[in-house]
Amino acid sequence: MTIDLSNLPRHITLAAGERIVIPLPSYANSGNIWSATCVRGHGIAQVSVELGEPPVTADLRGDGTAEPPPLMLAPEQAVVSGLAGGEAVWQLVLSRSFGSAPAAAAHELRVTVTAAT
Amino acid sequence: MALTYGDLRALIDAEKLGWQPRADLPDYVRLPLHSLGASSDGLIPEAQAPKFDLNTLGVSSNPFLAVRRAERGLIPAKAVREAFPSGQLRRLGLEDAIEGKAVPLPPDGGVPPSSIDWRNRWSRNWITSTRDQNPCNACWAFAGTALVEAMVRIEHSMWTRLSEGDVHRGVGKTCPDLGNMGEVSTFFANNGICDPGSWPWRTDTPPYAPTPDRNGRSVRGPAFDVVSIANSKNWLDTVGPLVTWIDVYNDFSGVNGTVYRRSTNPSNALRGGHFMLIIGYNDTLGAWLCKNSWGTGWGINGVGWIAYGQCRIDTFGRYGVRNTNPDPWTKRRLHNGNLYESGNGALHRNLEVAGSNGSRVQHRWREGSPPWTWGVASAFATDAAVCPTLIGTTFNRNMEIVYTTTGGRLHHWWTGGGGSGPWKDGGVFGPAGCNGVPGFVQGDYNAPGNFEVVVSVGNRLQHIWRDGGGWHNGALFGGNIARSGATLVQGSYGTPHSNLECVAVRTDGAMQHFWRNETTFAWTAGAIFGSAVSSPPVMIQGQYGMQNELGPHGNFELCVAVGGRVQHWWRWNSAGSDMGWRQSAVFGHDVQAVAGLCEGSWGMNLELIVLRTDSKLQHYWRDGSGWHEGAIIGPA
Repeated sequence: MTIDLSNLPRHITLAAGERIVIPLPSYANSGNIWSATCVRGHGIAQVSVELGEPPVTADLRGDGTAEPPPLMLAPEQAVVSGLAGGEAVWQLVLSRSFGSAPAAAAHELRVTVTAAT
Repeated sequence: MALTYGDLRALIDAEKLGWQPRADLPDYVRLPLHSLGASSDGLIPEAQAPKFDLNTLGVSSNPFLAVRRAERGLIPAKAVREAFPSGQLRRLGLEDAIEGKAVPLPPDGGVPPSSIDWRNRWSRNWITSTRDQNPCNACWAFAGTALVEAMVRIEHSMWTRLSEGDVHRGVGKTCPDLGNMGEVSTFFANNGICDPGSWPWRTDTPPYAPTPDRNGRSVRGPAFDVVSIANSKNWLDTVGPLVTWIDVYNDFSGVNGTVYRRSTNPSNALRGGHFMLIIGYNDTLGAWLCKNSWGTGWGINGVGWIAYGQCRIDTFGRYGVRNTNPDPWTKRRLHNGNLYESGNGALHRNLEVAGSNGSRVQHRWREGSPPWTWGVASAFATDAAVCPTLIGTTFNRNMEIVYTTTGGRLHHWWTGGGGSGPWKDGGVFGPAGCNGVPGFVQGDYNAPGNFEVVVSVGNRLQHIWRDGGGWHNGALFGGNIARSGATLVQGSYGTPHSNLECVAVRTDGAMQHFWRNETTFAWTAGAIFGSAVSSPPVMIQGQYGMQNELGPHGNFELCVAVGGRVQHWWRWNSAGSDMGWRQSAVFGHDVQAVAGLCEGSWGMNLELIVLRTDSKLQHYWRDGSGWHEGAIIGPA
């Protein structure tokens, strides 16, 4: 397995109205970005992929002579929001939007949403 | 410089970058630095970055670039005339350019042309194929490797295939890790970059364990030059491609045949930094031509136009490299017989020749730059019946020879470290009754690769090989064979191992082509061509006809002495070829036998060594204008 997703949870539980952020490993340097698709249980949870802090470097205004700074990537994260009680399954996919290469990685996330108290 | 969120917000407003940091973070808070493995080790502080002066470039071995540098006033026209024969310059349409700038030689103000595309410069491609780093964060390894491959092609006129995985794992990185060009530069300067057969690109992370002969199958060179943005077009004009930084936004995935300009829509988020290889530019388009490492599905076949100034592409210094030193593995099909272009010398293109006077072996060499004088190196051995077959091997760039002895057997000698040491006796081997010049190559079985020899024994040919267990007598094949020649090549046909190919002289005076199919290990008799041949031929598989390092198959080139002159034969191997052998030029005089043939660094020339009827060795060469008679080197 080239891309190690063992740190990603397979099942999370949250209450309706609650929000959980799951960091995703970034491979944007290879043209792959994460997306989320609901497989089952529409309307129970919402999963979106967002960027964390923008990548910055120590010198944002190079003078055209110095070497570039170390590479950095904007961290990607799955933001899970509980909408209504029930169970949903979402698939997180790491893929390119161009070319014909298959998805670099996929991860199924089961989301249990408890009713808000 | 540590930035605060206040600084960042000001920059975002000023440059209309299209995103905002979180609103709950106050202006005085310093920004965190996100890094996934990139190390700042190896980065050169700006103040220490070397300032490169184009006037120190000197003459390029590439005639087009040499003339271009003269046109730019970077070198005197006289230096180009000394480095290249006028016939070659004329044939390439370059002599007028030189003459026009000769006296006076006004620099053209340092103005580069309005466009350059190294994929089609002087009607030739100089850029290797598009690769794919998918799915790893390894752009830095791919860009650096692409740079070295391109410069080998530009500086030595030969295609090479190097391993991005060697750099990637060699510096200790894994698929998720980022890196920087300083790491690539340092690794290259210290270790070179090997071919994929020694350590391939792979996306998993086994321990880095290249083959034991890695050192002998690595292109070497100095650390990369840091080139300023202001000097980039000059460099692209007079040296070659450059690795550049660029910021990657969401819409960078959609680069196509048009010039890319980043969308300023706030949803077009910055994803991070990236390295690519700039292989040209076009002032009319206002864009850099960039070879990416995201496969052929990105841009147009992996290449895209990026508008000047976009995404900080014109913000940081870039990386180039000069004076690359190709390895014996890259050259393995490009020479045969007693001639080998080694990596020795200031320009890494010395010619090495081994001659025999019927008993001892004399090693000679020629520096790869004016005044082209031949030097005498070691003399050794007492039993060499024929001129040896000389190769460079992946055993730490050893030079090794095999010849037929006066007693009818085979004798192996070698000298280590690129030929700098004394020649050492590798022992006598093979069957009794050898009666021709042996073909001798290092093949791709095992690593270091086995030695393969084909020599005539009686009226047949015999295959002999050496592996870790010593020399082994192999199959007898062919019939009615008068003599073998230095024609054995492990060509580009066949997979996973390449076929062995050779040509021998028949008893009826014709030549016959044989090849060994690597699936069956069976030798097959092929085409019969030529007539009245009574001397051993020499054959290489050159790179004429190849569009890039992937192919098509380069031509076979064969030279043989007939009637005191040299006949040049060739077989066009590209797709659509009828696989027929064709005779082209007949040239030379007083030629007893052809002893060595090489497709060298000097503008894709063929270099030839003949044994004259007075038992002296003489150099001939072919450039774009035909064959030329060169120096008489000395007694064989």
